[in-house]
Amino acid sequence: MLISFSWLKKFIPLDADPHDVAYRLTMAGLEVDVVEEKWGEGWEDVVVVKVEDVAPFPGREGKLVVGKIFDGNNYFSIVSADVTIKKGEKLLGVVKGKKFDGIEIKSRRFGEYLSEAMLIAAEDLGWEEKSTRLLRFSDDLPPGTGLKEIIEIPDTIIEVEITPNRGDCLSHLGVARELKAIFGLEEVVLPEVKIDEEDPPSSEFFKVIIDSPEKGPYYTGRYIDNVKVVPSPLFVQAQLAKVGVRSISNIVDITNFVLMELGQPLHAFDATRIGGKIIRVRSAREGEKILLLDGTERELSGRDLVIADEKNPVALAGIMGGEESGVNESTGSVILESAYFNPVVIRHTARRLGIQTDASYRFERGVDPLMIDFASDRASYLIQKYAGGRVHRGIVKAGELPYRDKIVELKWSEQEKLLGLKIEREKSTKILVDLGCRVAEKCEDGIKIIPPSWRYDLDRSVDLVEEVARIYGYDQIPVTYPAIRVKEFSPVSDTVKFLRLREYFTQWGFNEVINYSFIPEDALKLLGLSEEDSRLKVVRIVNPLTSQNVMRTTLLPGMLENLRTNLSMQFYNLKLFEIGKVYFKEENYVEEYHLSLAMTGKRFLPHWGWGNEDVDFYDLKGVVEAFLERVFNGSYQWREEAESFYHPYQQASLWIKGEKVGNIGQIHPEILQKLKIKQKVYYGEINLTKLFSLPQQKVKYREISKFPAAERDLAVVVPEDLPVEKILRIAKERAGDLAWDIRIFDLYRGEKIPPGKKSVGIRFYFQSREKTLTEEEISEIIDSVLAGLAEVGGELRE
Amino acid sequence: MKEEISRVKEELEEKLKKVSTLKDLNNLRVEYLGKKGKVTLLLKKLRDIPPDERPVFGKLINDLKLWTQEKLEEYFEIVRKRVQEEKFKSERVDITLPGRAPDLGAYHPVHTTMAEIIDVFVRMGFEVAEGPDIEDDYHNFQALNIPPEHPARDMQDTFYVDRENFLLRTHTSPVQIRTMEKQRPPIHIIAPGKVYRRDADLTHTPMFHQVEGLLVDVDVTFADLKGTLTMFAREIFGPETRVRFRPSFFPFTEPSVEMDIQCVICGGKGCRVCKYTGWLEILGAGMVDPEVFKYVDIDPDKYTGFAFGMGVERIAMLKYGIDDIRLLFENNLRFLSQFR
Repeated sequence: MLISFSWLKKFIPLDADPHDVAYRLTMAGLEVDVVEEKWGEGWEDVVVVKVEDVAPFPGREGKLVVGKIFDGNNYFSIVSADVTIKKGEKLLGVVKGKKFDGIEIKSRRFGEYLSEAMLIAAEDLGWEEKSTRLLRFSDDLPPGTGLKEIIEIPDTIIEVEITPNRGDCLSHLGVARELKAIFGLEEVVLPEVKIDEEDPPSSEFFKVIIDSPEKGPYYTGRYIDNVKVVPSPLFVQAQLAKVGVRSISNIVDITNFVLMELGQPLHAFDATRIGGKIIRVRSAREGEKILLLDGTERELSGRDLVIADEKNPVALAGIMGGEESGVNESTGSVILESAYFNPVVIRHTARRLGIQTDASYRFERGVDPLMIDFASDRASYLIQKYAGGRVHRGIVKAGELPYRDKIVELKWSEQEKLLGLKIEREKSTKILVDLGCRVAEKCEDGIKIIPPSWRYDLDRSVDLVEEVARIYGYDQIPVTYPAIRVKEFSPVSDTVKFLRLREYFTQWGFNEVINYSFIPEDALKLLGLSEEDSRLKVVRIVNPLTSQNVMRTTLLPGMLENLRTNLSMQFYNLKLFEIGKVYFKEENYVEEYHLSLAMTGKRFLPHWGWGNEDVDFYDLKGVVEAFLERVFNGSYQWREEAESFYHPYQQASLWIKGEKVGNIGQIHPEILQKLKIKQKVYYGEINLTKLFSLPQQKVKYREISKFPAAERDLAVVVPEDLPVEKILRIAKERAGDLAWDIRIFDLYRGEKIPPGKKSVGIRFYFQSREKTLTEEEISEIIDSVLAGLAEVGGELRE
Repeated sequence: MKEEISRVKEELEEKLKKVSTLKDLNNLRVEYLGKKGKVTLLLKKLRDIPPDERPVFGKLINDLKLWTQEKLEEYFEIVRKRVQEEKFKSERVDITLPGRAPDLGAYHPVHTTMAEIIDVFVRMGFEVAEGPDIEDDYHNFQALNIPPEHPARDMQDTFYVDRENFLLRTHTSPVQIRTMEKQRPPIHIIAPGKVYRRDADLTHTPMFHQVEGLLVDVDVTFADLKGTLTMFAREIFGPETRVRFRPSFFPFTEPSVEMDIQCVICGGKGCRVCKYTGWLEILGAGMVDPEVFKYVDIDPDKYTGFAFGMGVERIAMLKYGIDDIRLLFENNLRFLSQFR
């Protein structure tokens, strides 16, 4: 909320630099921003002027008026666009030769007429937006009275941001109380109340019945008649303008004025609109409707609280008054409401209806129960003084104040233990007293205090420790380092383990992406999964923000989206990876870490030094194999797979110890077509949680052979559909331990061999641990391999 | 004879100067020292010289032979070097042509920052803990002393999922509760992870990352909190970083505090990023509220603790000068590739 320095000074003798005040408040827990350091600077020459004469501008009737004004000393002719000006009226103006906002006012000629003064509109002062209406006020100020005599200008305006527990600071009184404690100032002075109460008493005019004490425990009303609804006195309008509140009329302005002053929201009803002379504080009826002051009609629910007359709701309690019972120019008598409403109820209704008002903002955070009656008196006094009101005796009260004194003990030992600092007991006590606490009793190891009625956030010793610490200054607390005791280690966390994997993929040219955990269900449907597929067991978000309405069960949709975005930005060669969680709805919610890899376009960035082909299935497979080599010591197999989102003949799944841990493949062209991706995409996804849970072999050193090694190449022609793995298996079986490595070094299809066949080049690396192998021994093995391959249709390539 | 000797010598010197290849040198060796070489022939001619003069001429011719050998060797070295130099020259590389490097991928700045934050606390002795993204109401709110009608619990702010009382965690603080349910003090953990809030604009994305911290033991003080977090800020933002601690409010800590660092953009002079305050809010923290200890059955008379939580994106944005949080999740390579 906005706070005016001059207004604060009405409560406390504040004499500090605004920036220092802002800093000290911030460091005490109220975040403060200096909004305007010199509010009203340049208005020193604005004075009250009296309209002596006014007539339509000949030829421009209805658009302009001409007239004469008096500033206490001289007469000036004026031309104005506000045609509602009346003779005898008092306005604000700046006459020729004087300055407004630093600019000198000069005579201006309109045809035969001179304008020798500027009349001030609310817009000129920034008190209203887009309104050429001249500023009107109801107090009888002699012409020539300066604006600076009515209000303090220039003034400093600060904006205070409170934490949810500090509703008590949502007024000038509240901020003044904080400053009193921070600067150790004199007691806060409450504003003046001098009501001349008249009979008959308020209770003769209406009754209050509380039907829902749990929602509205305490309600007061006061009857005031003989009021005249006119513009507010100038100082009220100015004071409200300083804190950003628009002036409406004297009655409404006074309720707002007291709200800004004391923090208690008030409401004035037109007494004649309260049917049956009864005010009921009751729950709304389901479906009941009310037309509010903002012109909207709202449908209410049974959880809402309303103020009603004998039949209908007249206000949405604590939030906004009703249009029909509101105060207007014809109002002659009012019922002034001051009450306490249950913060939870107000918060609930305000949020459900999406309305936030100055009143609801304060009721939601809790108002000071002991300020309710005083605020009523204060507003009554101002209405008596500035609206001619006749205040009737007594306040009509219903219900019980939701407040009782409570005793809270601050333990010195706890304060020291928690803060790591010993603060003198006298100092601590003074801080609490400065904050409005009363000392109930001094104990051996502490002090029992009664917190002030506005601080219901102070319940426990620890709450008081914080109060002392924040006023004493967090910066006064020393900086020490905790002794962190070594204890039994927990296993390395998944986050740390998987963050490390980023190293591999970035070294291999893959860029890391992070996608949202939620995806549109449509993106999942696009994959064409079968009904039983576990990836369709999605966790659904009840209130999604966008079309992303389910938690991802695979990283693929996010990755496809990333590819699409980057391709559309002319990045045609992409290698991307993501490490993140997927979510399944089983008996419980299950979360697993997955790795996704995607490749498309050229194998490398364009380079002078090597050939550059498009990536294919084996590029991706190689990356996965290299990754396994790094992180998993054990055997794995690739098996044929039948995922709907892959090319039917370019996909495989990865199996380890009878468990499927991932799959790779070329994304199905039809899916890509739907995403308008025009190039081949290779994708793989590995379940990291599963992979890292599988038992691994330990690395064991084997003695190095001292005998010479030998290489032999073998080219065999085999049927096209014979998997290379089978060839390798036969080669390994036949060669036994003597071949320490066997690699496929060549693959040929073409004219030189019969159709339906392929030629596979196999390289053997022989070495014995016991002796130098002879040529005969090696040939024997090769012959044996050939014999084995012959059984599956292989023959030596000539 | 003498003349002949000096003529051979002069002639050879002339020829050596013209030698350009090793082959030329070999030819010269044959021409002078070979079986029919000029020096060899001179030696043979010695027989025709009177015996008394032989020793003199013998020495002269022998000297010539030695000289020739030396010269040939000398030139052999010169030519060899020249030839090698030519060969090297022909192999000259253009050092400005780009090398054949493997393509390098980029690290996502959010994960990089998260890893750095984790590293700082692990070095201090904290362990890394983990909790589910899909949380229950109890751990996300209730056990953290957040009352049922608290605005944060509203459907407006929190994503709820399809089983009653389950939601996407709005902060990493539930990991505090889960850890204290399982472990007894001393507890010193940090919990990094994804969190979710129904919010999307220039400064908010519906998913972001936090790192939570919790230290519970005997004699843990607010002063320790200040020390730990000051050290953290200096590790992440540089040793000269100034910090300040402001009172704040969180339902699960008391006293509560927010830590600001001096603005990394303007150095505290005031700029758009720090809203002309010179300070940037980095994290929220506080002493664990006794109410929270009650939920996890830790004796607040015996133990104290502090907890803290920070947004990873905010820190990453400040470190790298990123001004729009949404860039972090668009995964645009023009953005990502800057973080190799």
